[in-house]
Amino acid sequence: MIMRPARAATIIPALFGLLAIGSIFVDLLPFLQGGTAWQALFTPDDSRFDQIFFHYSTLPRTAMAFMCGAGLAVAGAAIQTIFRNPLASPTTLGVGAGVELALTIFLVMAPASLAPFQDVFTLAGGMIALGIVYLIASGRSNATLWLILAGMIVNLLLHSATQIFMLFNQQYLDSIFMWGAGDLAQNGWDSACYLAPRLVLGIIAIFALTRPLDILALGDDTANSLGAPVKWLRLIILTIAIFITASIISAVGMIGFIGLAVPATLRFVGFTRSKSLLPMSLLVGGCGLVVIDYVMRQFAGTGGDIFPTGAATALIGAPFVIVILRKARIMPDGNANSQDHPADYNLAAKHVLMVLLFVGLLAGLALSLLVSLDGQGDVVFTPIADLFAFTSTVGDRAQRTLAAIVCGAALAVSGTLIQRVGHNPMASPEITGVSSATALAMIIAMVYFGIDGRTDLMLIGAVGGVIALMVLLGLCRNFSHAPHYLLLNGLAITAILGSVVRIAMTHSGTKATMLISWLAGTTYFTRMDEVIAVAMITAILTILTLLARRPLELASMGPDQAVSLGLGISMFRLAMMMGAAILAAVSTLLVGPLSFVGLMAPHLARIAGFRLAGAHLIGAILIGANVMMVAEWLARNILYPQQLPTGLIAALIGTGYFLVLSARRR
Amino acid sequence: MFDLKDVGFRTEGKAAKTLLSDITVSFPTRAFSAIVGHNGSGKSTLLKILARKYRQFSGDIRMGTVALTDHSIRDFARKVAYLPQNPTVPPHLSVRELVGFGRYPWRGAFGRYRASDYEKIDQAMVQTHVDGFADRLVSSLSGGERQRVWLAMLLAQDAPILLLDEPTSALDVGHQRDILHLVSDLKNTIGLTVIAVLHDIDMVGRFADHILALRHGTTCWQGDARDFMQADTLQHIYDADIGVITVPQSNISISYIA
Repeated sequence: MIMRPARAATIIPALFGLLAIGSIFVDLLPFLQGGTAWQALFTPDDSRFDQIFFHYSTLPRTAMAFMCGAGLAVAGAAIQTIFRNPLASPTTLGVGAGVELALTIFLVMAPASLAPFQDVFTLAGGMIALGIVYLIASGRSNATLWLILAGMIVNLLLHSATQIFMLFNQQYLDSIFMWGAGDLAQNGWDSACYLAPRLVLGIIAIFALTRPLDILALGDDTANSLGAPVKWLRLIILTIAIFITASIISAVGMIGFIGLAVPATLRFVGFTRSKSLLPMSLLVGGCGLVVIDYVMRQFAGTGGDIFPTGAATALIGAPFVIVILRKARIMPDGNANSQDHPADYNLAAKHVLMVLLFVGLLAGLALSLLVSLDGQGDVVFTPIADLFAFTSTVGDRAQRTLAAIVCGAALAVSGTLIQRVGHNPMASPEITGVSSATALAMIIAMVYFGIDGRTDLMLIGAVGGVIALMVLLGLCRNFSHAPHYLLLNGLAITAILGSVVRIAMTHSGTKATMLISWLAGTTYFTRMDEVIAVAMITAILTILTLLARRPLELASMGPDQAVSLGLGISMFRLAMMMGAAILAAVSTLLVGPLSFVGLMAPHLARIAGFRLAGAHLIGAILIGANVMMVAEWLARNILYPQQLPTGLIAALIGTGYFLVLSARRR
Repeated sequence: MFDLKDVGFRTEGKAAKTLLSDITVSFPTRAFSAIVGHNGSGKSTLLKILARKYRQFSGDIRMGTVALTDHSIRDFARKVAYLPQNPTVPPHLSVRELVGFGRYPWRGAFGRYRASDYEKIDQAMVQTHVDGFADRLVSSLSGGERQRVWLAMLLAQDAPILLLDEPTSALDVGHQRDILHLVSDLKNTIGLTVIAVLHDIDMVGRFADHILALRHGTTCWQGDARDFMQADTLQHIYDADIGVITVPQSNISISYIA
């Protein structure tokens, strides 16, 4: 423990309370000096702009900030207590993304007569998202970790689904973006009046359930033997927490990390019982967001541009969470040896399977080039009669299919390296945030520095990815056996990416469409020379790693044993991680940051029985390439003539795979 | 083989603790040395320092005539084989593959394994009686079987010095005897230097040539097995009422709790 609980416990709420009151006081100061404070607060003079602005914008905005912060923090505290998981929160468990998707669909599609049912719809969206997360995570040995991992996957997936949906409804784009970024700007009391009764209801309900919450925190078995109806209690409390989250997101959009950081910090400084944790969360969450929002408002004044508060909370919150959780070490020990591996491998080499995968890849490639769907579900063969049309069609398809295959291979190698060297079966370029950091570097270069050349972007992205991986390894240096630190940092980087993307979108205007489709992983803009370049890099790095398969195998025994046997593990690890980062970066340029092939392919390869490093690499490459090829064909043909992004389809396949896997375990 | 002078060790960080201080000892070459002591006395820490797992120790340690830190990683691995208390078991490796990694210090990342390497691997598996399940997964074995597999890997490593951290903790009496007998046999035949952290007093008295007893991170007693198996010595080391009887017509002593 770094901070002494007793002192920090009083300082933090007091500090935030004072700061919040201070910020309101500063806003009110001009009116106090003019003696019109009362007037500005309650009955603004219609002829005075400053009074109108204060009464109809600043004041409701501050109220909204307090309500949103308080609500999210209380919901987060309840969710964390129920899952006994300090990383759980409305945003990390996919609830926010679920609500966002439901609401986006509702706003665009639903007829006006359904408007009263908006709450039900968003609540269902949040519940379904949480249900999926829970389904993936439950029944696994390392539930704490899997819950967060599943949350990240579902989060990214739903989020990209939302973006796709917007892609096809571009007329709503700008306003949905501002809303999605957690914009607190108000022009009246309407939103506040919409939100207030819902929040008061939800928060009172949660406060009333304080004691059951504490009993649930003891664990299911203890709670059951104390006579608590565990399942019902959990469902009721989660429903209320999701209702609070859904109401807030409906009103202002996603506000990240308040619901995670506030309760986690408070628990860390000593508020362990719900009786004190809940009211303190309310106070600190509310005041904290008021303060952050106050700071953001000052930016808006100088820059002229609007900087959404919700995006800013992620920027501030993510690094903060890393720091506080590192100090606290309240995560249980992640054990890389736990039974997430099948216990009995068939020791026989899998040559047949490997050949089959290879044949499948070749056959699939041929089919993918020659066969397509025409939009009515009928199969169309490319006619060979007209040679010119034939070559141009096939050539056009070839570069996209090859791009997908090459990226599948690159991500598979990258994922295998990170999983093996990081000693962590759940790591991957997507999960650890390397892909996100690559995308982040590219977006910043594109939007803020106006760099358009794709070669330049690829270089910048690679540098970004390598830097992210270095930072990651630096942060995790002392915890090489602890998978959760990798995931935690990945989570934070992904969150930062999300908020930067949102901020960038509000700046970029016309580039937004292209950015979204790229982030979702379209191969539409790919050029043949890029594919060849990426293929070369992938081939070279793959051959190098295959040559180093013996030390790669040794690395799976852990750093201590590896050093005992004479392998300079730190240099080796550095080299392998560099390779992984470069591969992740080059493939991110082609298919965007969230295909999950880097997680899925090595995982599948290991389950298929490719045990040793060399076979594992080749198996993962073949599986990754196959998956991406299928995804690319589907993306091109499912909704023809609409073109879906390949990365999203691959991510859908990946999520489906994890769902099937978890269902089969039961 | 190892000469330690005023060796101390402190953990880093805000809550720094002194785990070892003023250890001065010489572990003899081609002998079986045992490190004993109660829980938390610093036995494993001392062994880890000798295995170069902890590098921030104070004082001076020489291996032969060279300072401990002056060996390259590969060079050190060829000279010293170390078995940690709870080695990480790779979930996907078979016994033969794991033992095969004992040859890594000699062949490195790219060198081809030769016939002599495979001979050494087979020999190590026969010596530790793990050849019967050479093609099973290490993760599917029992704790005692795993311990013997790890020992096989150390033997395949062909290093003149073995550092063993409680090598018999998961074994039944028969296998404990087998393993320690094997190690002490190898010491006599090919001149291994063995340093082991051991718990079982009788096994120490039976097999060890030189014994170092630690208490609270300082040297509490050192000497040979005959002096070790005395009631007052054991009472002094373990702070418990321990008696010793000598088996008639032999030079074997056994301890009992009084």
